[in-house]
Amino acid sequence: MSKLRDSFKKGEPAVLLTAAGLAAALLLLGGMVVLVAVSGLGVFWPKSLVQFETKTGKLLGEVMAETIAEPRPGFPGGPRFNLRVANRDIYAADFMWVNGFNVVGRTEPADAWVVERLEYGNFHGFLSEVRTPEGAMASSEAARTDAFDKAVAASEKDTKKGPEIVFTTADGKAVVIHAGAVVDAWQPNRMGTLARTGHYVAALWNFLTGNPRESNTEGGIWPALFGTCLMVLLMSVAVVPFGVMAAVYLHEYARQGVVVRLVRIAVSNLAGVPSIVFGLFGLGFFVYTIGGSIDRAFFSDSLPTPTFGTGGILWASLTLALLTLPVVIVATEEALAAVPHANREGALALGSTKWEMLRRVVLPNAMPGILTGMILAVARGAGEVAPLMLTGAVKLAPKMPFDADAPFFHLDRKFMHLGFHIYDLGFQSPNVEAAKPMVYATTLLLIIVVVALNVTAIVMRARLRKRLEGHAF
Amino acid sequence: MTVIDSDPQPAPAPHEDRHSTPEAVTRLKRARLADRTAGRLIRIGGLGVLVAVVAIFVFVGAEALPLLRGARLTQGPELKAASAVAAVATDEYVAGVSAVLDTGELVVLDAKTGAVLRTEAVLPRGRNAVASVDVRPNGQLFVAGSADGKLAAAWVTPKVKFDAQRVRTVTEDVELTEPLAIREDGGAITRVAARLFEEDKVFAAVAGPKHLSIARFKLGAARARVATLDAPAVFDQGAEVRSLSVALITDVFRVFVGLSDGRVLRFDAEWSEEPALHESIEVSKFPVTALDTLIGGETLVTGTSEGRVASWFGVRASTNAQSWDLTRIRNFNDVGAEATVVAASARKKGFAVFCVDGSGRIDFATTGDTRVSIPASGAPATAASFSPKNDTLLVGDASGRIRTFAYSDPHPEASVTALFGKLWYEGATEPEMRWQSTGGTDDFEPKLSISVLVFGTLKGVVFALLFSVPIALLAAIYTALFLPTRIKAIVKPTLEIMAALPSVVVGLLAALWLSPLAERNLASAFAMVPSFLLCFATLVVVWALLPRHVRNAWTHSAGVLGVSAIAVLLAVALAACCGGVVESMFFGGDVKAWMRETLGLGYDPRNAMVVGFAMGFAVIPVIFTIAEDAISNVPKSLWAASEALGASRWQTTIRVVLPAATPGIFAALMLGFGRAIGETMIVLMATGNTPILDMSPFNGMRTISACIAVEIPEAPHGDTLYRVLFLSGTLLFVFTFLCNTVAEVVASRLRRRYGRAG
Repeated sequence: MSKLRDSFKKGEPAVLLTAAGLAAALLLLGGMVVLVAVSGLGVFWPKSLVQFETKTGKLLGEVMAETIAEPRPGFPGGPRFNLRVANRDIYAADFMWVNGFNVVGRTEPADAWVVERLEYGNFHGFLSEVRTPEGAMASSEAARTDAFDKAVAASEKDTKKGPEIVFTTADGKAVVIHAGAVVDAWQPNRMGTLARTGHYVAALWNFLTGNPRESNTEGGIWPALFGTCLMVLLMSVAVVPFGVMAAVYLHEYARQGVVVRLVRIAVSNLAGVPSIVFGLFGLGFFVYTIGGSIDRAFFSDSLPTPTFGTGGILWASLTLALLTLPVVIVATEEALAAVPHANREGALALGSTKWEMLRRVVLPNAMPGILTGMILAVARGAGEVAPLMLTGAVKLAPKMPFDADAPFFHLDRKFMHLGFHIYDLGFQSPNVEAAKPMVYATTLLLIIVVVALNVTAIVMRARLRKRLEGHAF
Repeated sequence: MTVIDSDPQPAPAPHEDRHSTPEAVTRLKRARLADRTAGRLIRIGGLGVLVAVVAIFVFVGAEALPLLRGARLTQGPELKAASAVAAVATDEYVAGVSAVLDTGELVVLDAKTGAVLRTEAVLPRGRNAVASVDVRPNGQLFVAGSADGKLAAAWVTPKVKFDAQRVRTVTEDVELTEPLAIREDGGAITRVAARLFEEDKVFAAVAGPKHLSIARFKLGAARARVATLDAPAVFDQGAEVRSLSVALITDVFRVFVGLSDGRVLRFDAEWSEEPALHESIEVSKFPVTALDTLIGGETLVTGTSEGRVASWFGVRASTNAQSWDLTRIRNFNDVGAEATVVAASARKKGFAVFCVDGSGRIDFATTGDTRVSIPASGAPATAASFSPKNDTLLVGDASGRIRTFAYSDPHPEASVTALFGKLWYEGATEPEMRWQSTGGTDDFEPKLSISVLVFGTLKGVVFALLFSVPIALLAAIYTALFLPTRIKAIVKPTLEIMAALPSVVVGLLAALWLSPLAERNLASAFAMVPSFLLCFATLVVVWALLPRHVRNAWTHSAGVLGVSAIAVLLAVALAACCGGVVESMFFGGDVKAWMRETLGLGYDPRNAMVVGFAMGFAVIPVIFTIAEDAISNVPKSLWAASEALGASRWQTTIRVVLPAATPGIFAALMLGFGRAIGETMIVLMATGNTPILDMSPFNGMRTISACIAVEIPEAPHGDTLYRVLFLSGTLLFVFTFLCNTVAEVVASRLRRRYGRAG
């Protein structure tokens, strides 16, 4: 007891409470990262197919989760399995709950197939017939698999044509899939860890470089990835020169006084202005005012269909450039301020003009800081969604903003964006459950990109500070 | 002196300055030029960028400014008819002005020159004919009644032709319906009102001094179906019909009769059904001299002989009540003399009212604002109407003059009361604040109360701060004062990265993961706080019992953080496990049912609690970083002094360090507030975006930012909604800018103070 009183007197419980605050914050962050990582990383892993024999029929699927249900009146409780049964065209839903007390038998049939199809998502079942000459001859399962592989390899990809292949579901229903509609097919229960890893890497690659299908819930995210990169690139081209110019003006040219201090406060406050306000500006000024004027001046033939008078990648990039301007200005100013006076005075003493001093001495020294600002701006731009919704990001862009058609860059085109892709998949897609794997994978990718950029910036800034601390003495 | 003859350029003399050689001079010149150019460019560019940044917000505000602009009314040509005007209307191109005169003639005048294009006798030439007009998008239905009890109709439609130069000419087609005998007794028709129904059917209310009937006929038909309205109670008391109006609401006709004793009667009828008296209301003690229903047919505007103008519509006693009564919604400014004509605007719920001296006004019914006044003409106004596109107002008077006015009022519904106060909308039981920007029908009235959005925004912020402020401040105190530097060097950047996480990700997890989880385990969520208190109390006791050297060692390493983390995790685990037990012990086995029955609270899975948690997640690092800086920057000398006087670390923290850092902590809270106010994606995804005024943590809300994101892509450029959204964006900007500026000023003061002290 006296120990406790003693501890209270020293305020130790209060210290523990503050520590609990920090622990909670860190756990929240860690929990979120782990949640996204687990949900996102597992998406492409070929899970084993489990066949449940229940009192009502057979189900073949991947076990996504297993819970224990509390018994209720009229419900015995016990284990429940969340089964990804796929076969959306037959069961209507991708996922099903199976009650443990209904299960009679549980097996992992080696000859079970997962077929990734162009339509209706994945298929789980067994290969029963390949309608090619070779397939007709095949009597063993291995021969059928062979014939299947050849048929798929021979037929044109991404078409719904090609020889018919007959699969049966776990409860014996026949499903015909054309060889051309098969995107990928594998027998997870026959795969070892190595084969699964190989499949995982291949699926990941397809995810990064493929085009989306089935209203974005299947396939890859290449257009969104490309759109994000191009938008961020255009944004950097716009924001870095102007941001650096403004910072150099503020720090090197403007007479330091109340006005400059006010301007500095205003600029740093801009960073706190909600991004949606920038979106409003982008829509009202870039899209309607500037874009509308360009349309009236140069594209009056196609009016009232707007060319530049509607959202597009150019307007989105410029809007984000304004949004990230304070980031670049603040970082550049910080870097300029950190360049020691001795260096400037040395340059001036050697007879250089102010511009030569800036160009040869100050800017090279400030370069890591400027780069840090740019990276932070890029990270912010990559993760921002709200202003893009108003200025040109779309669910599905029919054409990329950069392609082989002259003039190659189509700045008026709408584009896809990772962040918007996530929003759209999670909220606008008709089948949210089916979209979940894609949405988590995309989220993980976005987080990796943003965190990597931020870590780079933080490390660079730390190094810069350390170096300049050395200079100070 | 060495001279090399072969060299055309003289070599520099040793005693001469190297810099005066021509190349050097050019180089210097070039350098100076470059310096000047660069200086100028940077000055222009830099200033330009700064000006552009300011211009952004000026622009956003300026887009909202037209909301303040009042109506514009400019007098156009004044046309002249031969006799008093009984009804007047124009087509959608404002090419021809048609009017029925009290002689029973229909004249079509050129709207610009006033030339008489056409004259038709609707009724046999006589005196004291009365008429009304129903202006439709495709034509105008005139119905005229004569002093000998006959009723005739004229259907005037504009016919448009384009010639080779694509010049438009509009001519008016007139289709006459021969006079039909309505009053068997041959008495006079003194008032008439009519509506066109299903292309060619006419529903007309007809009144004489002691007579009231309904006539239904098809255009061009030779006979009408007449139903005399039996209202002996009305006429026996000596009242007379002074005004008449018919509204059509889908397929129900509503006939309003204004009486000389100040009452208004309401009859309802369908096309094939006999009309019945439904209601009689006291409007005034004076005769009701003018009546009309506004677009949609629900709102009735009455004008009396002493110039009072009021609006009425059906109000149910409660939202679920079946029946409704006409209720006085608001009184408008008096017109000062007997109101003779009320004409409903063709778009939006405005109306024009005129009086005996020919002066008038355009009011907006929903807000009660007077939009514009119209000067007197000298003669009593007898007829008025708006053009189908609502861009022209016509007024005819007893002397036969027809005045035309070009009229434009794009944003009548955006008054201060509409945006920030309560308004009584059609269908509501009382004045209310409401946000409902789009509806299914053409005559839908947008309800644009920014207050609702501001409320939603603040609600979200309150819940976010409730969750994040304790965690962030505790974490900041611990990090700044107790965490070993080595670990701090990792912890701070980690939480900075937390601030950089895209909000779309946080919103997604909140909506797709947290919200179903919380719904399933609501009892566990409730059990979280007691569970944490329990675990924490255990931690305190265990800590006190630990040997001194362990405590010392842990205090100077990550040990304290570790055991606290374990306590937090245990608290979460405990709450998760106890959820079922708690639910059956305290909430009768079903939390949601318990909440509904005991507290009367509904549960929306995407609610303020979830948003508070998710937005709190985004706000924690903002508050943490600034607060931690503020606490860290308190000079070490203060620490040293306090400890030298014998205070413990915690006493120093509470009594010395925290008071000194208060302004900085305040700045951190302001920044967190600013971040939460403007957050878009999290609220957009984690709430149902329902614009309701309800503080319950288990309901959603709609914030300014989410509302902009949802609605502006659909808002037509320049529309009232578009501008109102820009206005709310400006508000958002002003809020956050103020927060950030206050925070910045406070923080910089603090920096200067301790800059000196340290």
